[in-house]
Amino acid sequence: MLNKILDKETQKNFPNPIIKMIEDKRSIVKAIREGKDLSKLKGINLVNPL
Amino acid sequence: MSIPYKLTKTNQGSYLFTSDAGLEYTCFFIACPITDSDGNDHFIYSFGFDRSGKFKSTRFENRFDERIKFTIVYIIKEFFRINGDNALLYFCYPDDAFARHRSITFSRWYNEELSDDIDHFKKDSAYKDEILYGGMLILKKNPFHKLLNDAVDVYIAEMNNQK
Repeated sequence: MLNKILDKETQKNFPNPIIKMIEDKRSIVKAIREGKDLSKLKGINLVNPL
Repeated sequence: MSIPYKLTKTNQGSYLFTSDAGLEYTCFFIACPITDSDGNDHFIYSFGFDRSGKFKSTRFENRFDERIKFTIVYIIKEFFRINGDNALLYFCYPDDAFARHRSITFSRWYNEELSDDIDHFKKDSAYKDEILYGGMLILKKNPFHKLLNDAVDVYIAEMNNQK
């Protein structure tokens, strides 16, 4: 399950999950404002917990 | 009490709602694995929302929309109804002059609507020479309450100490 959320390469590049979240969120907000498809963002796993 | 806006789940992994003023908002969650000091693996989630499309933040440009507040409160309550063992983080980005205002507004929403069952820990931090206003929400009855809070604090302290 953990590897489904974050592959090992991503975990290696971002050993601190808080920094990973901050960087991901910055990329997501930029994409939202530019009208880009969020599912195409590389290395970012959007999840649907609702 | 105002009713929340209708949420639509997209095929991009996000949720949308449109305000009475015709503004569309995109909501999203991301998740990361985290390990506490007892060696337990958890997921922590981060929630965010932003107005869709390009815009310039201008003070007092838009009338306060109480339905947006109740939509975000609804999302958070639903999150914890379904994911009661997890913690939820948020960050207010300093890309305009209003990050602190957003943080204060969210704290007020928490005190008004969420504080009965959920704890709110402020997690303001520093990253890349900027102050990030943020916090963590967790159910009061979560058995991993302290372990999760401590684990997040370790990572935030590590981040604050980075040059």
